[in-house]
Amino acid sequence: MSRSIEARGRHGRNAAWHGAPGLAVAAACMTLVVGCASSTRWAAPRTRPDDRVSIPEPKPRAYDVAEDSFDKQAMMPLERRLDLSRQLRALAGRPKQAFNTDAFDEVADSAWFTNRNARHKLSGAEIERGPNTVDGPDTSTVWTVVRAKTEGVTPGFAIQDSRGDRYFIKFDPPGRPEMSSGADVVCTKLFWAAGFHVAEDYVTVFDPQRLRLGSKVKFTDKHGRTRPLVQADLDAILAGVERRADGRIRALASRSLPGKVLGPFSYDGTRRDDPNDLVPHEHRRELRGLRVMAAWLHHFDTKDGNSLDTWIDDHGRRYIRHYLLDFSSTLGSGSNHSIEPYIGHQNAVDPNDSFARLVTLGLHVEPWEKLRPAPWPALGYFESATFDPAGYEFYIPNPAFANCTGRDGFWGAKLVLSFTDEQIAAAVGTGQYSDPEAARALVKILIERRDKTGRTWLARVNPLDRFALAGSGDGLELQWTDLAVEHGFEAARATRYRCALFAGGKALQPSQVATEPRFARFPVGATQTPDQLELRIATARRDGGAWSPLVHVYLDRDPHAAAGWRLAGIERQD
Amino acid sequence: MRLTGLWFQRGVARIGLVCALGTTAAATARADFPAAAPGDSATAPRHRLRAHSPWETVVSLPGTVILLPFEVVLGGTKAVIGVLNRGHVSDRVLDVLVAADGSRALLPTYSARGGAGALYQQRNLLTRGSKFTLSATGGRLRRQLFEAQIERVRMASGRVTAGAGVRYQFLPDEPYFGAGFTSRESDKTNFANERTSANAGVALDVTRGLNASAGFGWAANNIRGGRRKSTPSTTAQFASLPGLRDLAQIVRIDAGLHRDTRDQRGRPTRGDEAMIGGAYARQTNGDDFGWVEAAAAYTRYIHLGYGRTLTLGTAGRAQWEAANRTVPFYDLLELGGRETLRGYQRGRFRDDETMRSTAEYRFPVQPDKLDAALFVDVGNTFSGDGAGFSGQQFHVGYGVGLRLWNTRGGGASVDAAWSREGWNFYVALN
Repeated sequence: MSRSIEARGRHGRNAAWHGAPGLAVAAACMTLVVGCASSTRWAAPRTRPDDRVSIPEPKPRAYDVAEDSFDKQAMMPLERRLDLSRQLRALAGRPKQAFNTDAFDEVADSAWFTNRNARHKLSGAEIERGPNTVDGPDTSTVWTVVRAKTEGVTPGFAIQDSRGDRYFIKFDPPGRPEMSSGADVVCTKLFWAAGFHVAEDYVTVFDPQRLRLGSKVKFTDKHGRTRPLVQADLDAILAGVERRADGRIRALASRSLPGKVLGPFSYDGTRRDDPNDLVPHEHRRELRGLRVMAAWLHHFDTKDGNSLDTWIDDHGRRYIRHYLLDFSSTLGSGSNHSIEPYIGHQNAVDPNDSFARLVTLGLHVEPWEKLRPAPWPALGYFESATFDPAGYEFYIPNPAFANCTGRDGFWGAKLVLSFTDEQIAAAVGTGQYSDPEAARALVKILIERRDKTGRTWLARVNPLDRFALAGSGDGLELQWTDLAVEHGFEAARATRYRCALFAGGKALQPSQVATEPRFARFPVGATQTPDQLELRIATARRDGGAWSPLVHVYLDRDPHAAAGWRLAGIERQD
Repeated sequence: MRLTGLWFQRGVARIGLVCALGTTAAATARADFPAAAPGDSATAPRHRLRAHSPWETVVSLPGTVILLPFEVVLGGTKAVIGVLNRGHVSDRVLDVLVAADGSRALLPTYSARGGAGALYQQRNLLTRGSKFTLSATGGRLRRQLFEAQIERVRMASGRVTAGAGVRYQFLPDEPYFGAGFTSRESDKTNFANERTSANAGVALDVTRGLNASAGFGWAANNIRGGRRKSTPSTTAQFASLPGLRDLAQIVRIDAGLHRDTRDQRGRPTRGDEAMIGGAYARQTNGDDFGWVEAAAAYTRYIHLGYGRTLTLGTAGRAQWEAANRTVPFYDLLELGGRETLRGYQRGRFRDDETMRSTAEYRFPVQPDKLDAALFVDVGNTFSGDGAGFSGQQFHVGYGVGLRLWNTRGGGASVDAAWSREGWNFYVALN
């Protein structure tokens, strides 16, 4: 409060130093190295080229889950600790921001992501439909088994239905009917609606008598050995599957993705044989922000192996599309079992947590240790009470998530908050839970986790969004939406906005405090006004409360715009 | 990984160039994002961005150098892991060693006494619920231990179970400090014990968790000079010890009651285990040895909540010499070592009466994988006259331990225990 808004630099270093003056030296060094790049005129981030242009056919990428796990759990933490530039950035409170955001800190539609619900609200029917283009496998006739496996976490097989469509069939674990199939389908809808590319997954109920072995079908056993499939293999897979009273089986049917399968994408680096892949994945906003969505839906197993690249033909353009796959380990489901309560609170191997427990002699009981499973087997330990959106730990560390900044989190939170209660209920409905109480409980938990996600990530930044410019001549008005107020996390009457107008780094007028989300009638008509204006806005939630980090809003003179000025972009501090 | 990308693809020359650029590097990095009108993605330049800007590369140089050896080692490990995983080596080995249903397993085993070796277990061999164990271990100084044992073979209505086993062991450096609670650590000697034994018994399920048992055993003991040269041989230091020179064949009959209400055997968190029993032993190839023995033990597992368990246990044993006979020194009751008094060496105290108590607090360190434990052991040996049975003369050991569990039935433990005689470390596998 004692610091004026004018004293804050564009990058808001004052906020970073707040309460940690000892870091000033390090920050000063950082400023010498980094800050000298500042210019008086703000420049919008360079627009990244469209990554959906035709490329030559790439080669499939080999992937090994054990190598990946070792890499992420042993090598990556060491590399990050010894990355001194990263440590300096952390010390100075200036993490590296995503590389592919636009002037308004958003991402363009791409081979990774398509802006959907956060930009244009989808109807309940659209959510229910999700990515689906058909109505699932045809269960009225024979299914021909074309492939089978017992390796991996979940045994299953691939079938071809009477329409010629291929699906991979997976089952719920014994004793927990509907758990993994319901979770998969619900999360498929939500991830799709958020904007990620996902497969078409369906809950299906089929008669095992209709299964027929195809000719020359390959079977991969748990040791990775491939041999011809025989009926006994199929019987063995089906032996552990729960059947309904009429003998039919509920399963998850995941439709084959279009295009040539190229293996999983990596959450760091780029794909060398993809000329479209220009941004290191760990610095892609969609993947950093995915952390927030994944935590919301308890999608703890976000390893490379749960993704897939395919070389598709999109109306004549042949490029790589990047999919998220396999959501059967979400919402309390561990695919072939109910997940343990610690999932989401610590990594599979977490030396830091283990050491802390060791030295505290186990006397500190973590809240998650007190969890009891939900009364509905399909939900396992899925709950909202111990959910910590920012502290959520993924089973295997994810390099993109580890780079998630406040801005990335804010972007991800906007995706999560874009889902209304009704949309969540519509998505849960597609899980086809037989117990309405279980479905209601799931909706309630998802809503509670959504709100926790919003409260957490919106508090990291100044959550003003959807800026608009009104007025003309010598008086303009900047309007915005305060997302924290819009979603009911903060009271509008207790919120105040402190706004200041700058040009070329100099204040044009004293800052003003407003109680409405607008900066009214600031003078811009004077001939000496430069070509670019900057508005700095901070928010306080109560009298005497601390001002939030700044949002910088930039206006460029534009004779073609109605008011003679246009919104050029924003820069959000975190 | 990143290091490879930095040093082997770009080359060191690039670093020099970057150094020359100095702080202008930051400006270069910034210039990577010049102003551009939104939406011109079709004309945007197509060059691949680097995760690290030049100045970051320079700043990170010391860390990169430190990282290099780790990258080599970890990179090699990763490659090996990849090869093993792609070949499904661990699955195949486990599949050979451990049946999917847990009915049979071939596991590595280790103990300080028996050495390292293999343990084969098969369940349901003759009847449902039976357990057959075959183990072979060996170690330094030609230490050997071979054992075959079958347990819980159901008979009659199923309430009666039977078991039998044979065992051969050659333990080359068994410690002996002298008998009695006043024995000194500095008096340590060692002897070799070659022992062949067999046993058989039956047990009756009285009620759920309680059974009564009776058994018969035979053992032939051949004592020789100890093979550990760093300590004197028992045969030289205690020449008149009973049982030291001649081969003694001893038969033994025993009976007892055993109650076990533990919730799980390997990692109990609740329940208790109680035992009371007696035995009579007598030499068959002479008239020197004969004694009666009684034992009682009780252990309580208290679940403190959230995976924390407190174990409280106490046990006492006593021997009485039969008329005109005595107890061979190697069959005296003993305290010390991993099973009894962890702060003291194995066999540290021997006498004809022992009493010990233990308290162990176990808590999870890594859920479902690793527990840690804090423990304190108290105990002593006594003579028949009760000498030594006073608070001041009890021996106390404190320690910490780690317990590693796995889902396929194996386990390992590491304990470090301290007493006034110093530290003792124990490693056990399966």
